[in-house]
Amino acid sequence: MLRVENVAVRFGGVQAVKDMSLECPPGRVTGLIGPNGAGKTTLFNVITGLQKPESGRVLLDDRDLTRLPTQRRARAGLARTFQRLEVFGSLTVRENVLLAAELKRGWSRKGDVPVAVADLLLARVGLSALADSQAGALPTGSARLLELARALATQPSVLLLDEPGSGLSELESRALGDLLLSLAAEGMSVLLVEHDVELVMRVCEHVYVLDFGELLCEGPPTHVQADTRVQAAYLGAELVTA
Amino acid sequence: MTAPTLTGALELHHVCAGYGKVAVLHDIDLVVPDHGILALLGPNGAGKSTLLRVATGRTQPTSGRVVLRGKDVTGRSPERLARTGLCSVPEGRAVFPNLSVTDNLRMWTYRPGLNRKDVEEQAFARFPRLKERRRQLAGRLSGGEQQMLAMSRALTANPDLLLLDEISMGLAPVVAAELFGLVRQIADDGTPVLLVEQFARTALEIADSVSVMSQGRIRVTGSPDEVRDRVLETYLHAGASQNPASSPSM
Amino acid sequence: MSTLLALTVAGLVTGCIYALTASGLVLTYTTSGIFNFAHGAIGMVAAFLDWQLIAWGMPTLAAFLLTVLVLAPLMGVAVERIMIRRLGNASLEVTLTVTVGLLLLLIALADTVWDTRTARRVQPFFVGQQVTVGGVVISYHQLVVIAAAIVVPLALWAFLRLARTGVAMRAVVDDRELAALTGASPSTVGMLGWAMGAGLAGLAGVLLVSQVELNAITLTLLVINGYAAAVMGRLSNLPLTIAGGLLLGVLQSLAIGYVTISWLNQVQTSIPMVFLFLALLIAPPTRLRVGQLAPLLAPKVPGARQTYRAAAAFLVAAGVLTLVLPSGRVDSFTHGMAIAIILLSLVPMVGYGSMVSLCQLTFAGIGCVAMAKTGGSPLGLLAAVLAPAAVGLLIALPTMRLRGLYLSLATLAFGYAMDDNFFSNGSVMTQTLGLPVPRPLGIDNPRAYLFFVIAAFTACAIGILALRRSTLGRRLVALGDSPAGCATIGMGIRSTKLGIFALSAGLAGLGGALMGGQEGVVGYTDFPLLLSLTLLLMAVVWGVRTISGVLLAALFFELIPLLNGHLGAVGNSVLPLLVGLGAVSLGKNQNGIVGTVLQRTNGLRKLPALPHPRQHPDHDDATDREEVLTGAQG
Repeated sequence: MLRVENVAVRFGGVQAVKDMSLECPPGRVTGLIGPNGAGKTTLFNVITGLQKPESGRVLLDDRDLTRLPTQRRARAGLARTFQRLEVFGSLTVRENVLLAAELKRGWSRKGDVPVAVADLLLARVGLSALADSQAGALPTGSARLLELARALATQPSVLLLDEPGSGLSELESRALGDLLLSLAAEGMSVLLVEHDVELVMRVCEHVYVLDFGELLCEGPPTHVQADTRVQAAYLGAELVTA
Repeated sequence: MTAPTLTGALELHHVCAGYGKVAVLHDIDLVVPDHGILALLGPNGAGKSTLLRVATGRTQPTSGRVVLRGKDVTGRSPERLARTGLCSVPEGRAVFPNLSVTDNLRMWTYRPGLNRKDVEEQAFARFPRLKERRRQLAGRLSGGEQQMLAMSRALTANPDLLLLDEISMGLAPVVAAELFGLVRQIADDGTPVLLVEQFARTALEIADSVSVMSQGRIRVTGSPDEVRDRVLETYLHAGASQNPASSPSM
Repeated sequence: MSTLLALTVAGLVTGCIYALTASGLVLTYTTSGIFNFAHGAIGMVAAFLDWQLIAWGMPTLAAFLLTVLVLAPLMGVAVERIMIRRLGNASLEVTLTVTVGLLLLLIALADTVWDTRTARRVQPFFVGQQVTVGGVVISYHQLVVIAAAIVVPLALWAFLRLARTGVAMRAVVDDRELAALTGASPSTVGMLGWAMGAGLAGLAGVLLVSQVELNAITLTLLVINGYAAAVMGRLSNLPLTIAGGLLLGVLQSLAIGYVTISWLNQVQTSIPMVFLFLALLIAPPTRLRVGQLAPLLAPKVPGARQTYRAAAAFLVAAGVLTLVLPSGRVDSFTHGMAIAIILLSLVPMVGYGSMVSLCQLTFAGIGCVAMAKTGGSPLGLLAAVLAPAAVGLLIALPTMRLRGLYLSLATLAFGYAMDDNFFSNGSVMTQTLGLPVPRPLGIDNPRAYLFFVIAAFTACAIGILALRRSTLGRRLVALGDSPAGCATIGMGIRSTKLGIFALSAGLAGLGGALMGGQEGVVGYTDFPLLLSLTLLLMAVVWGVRTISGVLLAALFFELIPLLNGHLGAVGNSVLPLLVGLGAVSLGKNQNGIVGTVLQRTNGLRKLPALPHPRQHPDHDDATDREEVLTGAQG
């Protein structure tokens, strides 16, 4: 289980994240929502080690990851996608996923054949047809799915997704939701940052609402939906009726 | 849709724009009236920021024209537009974090006719907090103070047109309310304002007219009361199916 | 005691000059985001111009002022307008090659205009006048230098703090786009940065020239001292940079006075390298950055079957060529193929991994020496690969925590130190006789040896393509695209980079050994640093991402002397001029000539340009609010 304890981040005079704690247990999709600039991506960067927190800890199954570099956290079972894409644009779609699978085999010494893993995952996110095209040429939505497949190829126990639904069509978005639910059913912890309210409401069992760097409220989606503070801060009362 | 005969402070005619092959704006017609606040609303990825990038010269449209105060300014550089009276406060903190407050104010004097003394006097009179902290680096100010500093540019420049991109982002509601009050005041003093917001409610309260965007198109334009229902509709529809061509920067 | 004092004072004076040139370097780098390797070369041309003006009868002071305040800044403006402005968001290997090309072009220009056989001296200011302070004799010229080093930084500080344009300069460094939105023009500021930087380079050149001989290369390589000092200030902080310059000057002076290491000929040239490496070791690590540049169009990677077919065809053609080639051409062809192997070493490193070494020929030289010392047996060939690989590892190690540019800086400083301290070292080779190099594996027949070298090239090329298709190749390309992405899938970034750098150095060593085998005897000037730069440039201009690109580059390189023969005196400047022009063209054509051809014939994968805001190289420090340039806390 991923736990974030009292994390704070400051950029100069701006407190980007204030004393934030959250839990992300296995077997469920946890939502993290909040308006633009609320600190969601910063929190992801803290969890994955791309941003040093001012204070606070990041724990995975009671192991303290706070001082580990990014790649060691990945090997410990954390995987993520990026809001601003970080695909390997000069590689093909298959190579992107294959590389992650090969690295996984390298450090875990488990016998899964990387090529097979890659092809399986590409099929699972629906990119098989594009396997040999250059990743840099993909439209945004497909590139997001590719990042998802690449993250899955490391067989993580915790998956952090930063707006995976933006750029997807309605159909793709629905398929993504199904995929996230089935990943959770397989025992993965999924932490989802997403603006697509419908998607969040459908797949998340538990939602944290972040507003200007602070936890505003948390609970099951219906509970969060009903919370007036959330409505005031973020959704706007009209929009929650979805 | 908009009435193209109207002359406004800023007009976009049939503007298309994008990044490489990815089109973000499709045939945009938009007139910012020469007084009052026009709020531009729309969900994440609707193309609002790209529209502002086109209006400020940071992104060149692939087709269409940008007309500022009756003059065709398509293709002009951002700095030239800024000097001729277009004041734009971009998304995020629109200050130079490694410059002191006074150095930031110094940068506001590129608009012709402004000098250092006047800018400082006006800014400090409106925001005494900035005077107290004038020697500090802007990056060390709190979020609200940084936004005050950014808005002081709009206040002192007396621009022909003010473009504001999500100025309330990441600010506490009280601070945001104060900022919107300031925007209303600037508009009442005669400066036309184009206010881009993701979250509709506050914007609907202070705007004189509203345009709603989704998927790179203007969906509806009208008074806040007229469009209130359409806003909801557009957001919900777009939330479920966003255009894959939408800009990843939003 | 008085010796110590005298040495310190002398060192401080030199340090003042380093500080001046280093400040100019920092100024251009922070305002335009492009590191100017030709900074010293601009100072060199300024020094020549100064000499020329005086030779034409202009008063010393007038010539000095005209050079430093007008001519040198104009050079900076011209460079910015013609070469730099259109680089935009280009990758490190492109921006770096462009300024390296400028460096070579300026040297060629100086050599053409000011014939190298004439010795030129510029008199110091106030010849013969001096004061004695505390037993130390200080010339008036030295006082002028010290005064300049006090006045100029103060003026610079005042300008950056007080003038609106100075404030705008810092603002552009901070946030380019916002600066434009306030009405300040980033491109004007960039031009001003280059003008001021070139002015400072010119000042340093003119002040230094009376103390050393007017020599194009010495003055050009002053850039190494300059950036060694600037790395102290992380290439962005002016006060620290100036302190670095002074410290470097004093250390160098003391080392010359006190350190006598029998096996080091030129202590002073190794000091900048030592200083740079120490500065690199204490530099804080660079954070992994999110938000990368858009990748270029990538050439398609040939599959295994396609590779073998092409290799077989190439070998057959080469075999025929080996048999029919006129005897007079065999040696030059062999030499060209050995060069091709050295250039091949750039493909995995520069072409795939976006790391740039500026001393590949130095590695070749180390390989050659290693084989000469161990003999032409397979063991000797192994030594030719392992020795440079080990050295490469040591050089790359301290730079791994930092941005890619620092690796390039380290390699240039290393090559510079090796030129003077290794190849000309008596225990490596005697300067008169050189070093005899055996033919590897005892292949003495020139035609057989040519075929052997061609076969070696083919084998290495097959190996490199196989590498590109392997996990390691994928890692390498991924690293160039997104280091942050790599780290989040658990990849150890440093080990991958180090491994490739060592491999590439080893391959260059093999090429060097084969080249030495062809020559039979190598001399201490056979592996000069500047030729490393030329070779890199040729490779990038022809296309460093493809095997055919580097092969063409090598053959072209061998063709030049032939051209020279036909063109006579003008011919000597053909190569550098072509290289320089090639560098200028890179701004438009970043995949090289082969890349462009492939693009026309659809051999490149199509890539749409995604929106990527221009990112300033120093924005990875954006979270620590240390004021760039003036270094003051607000």
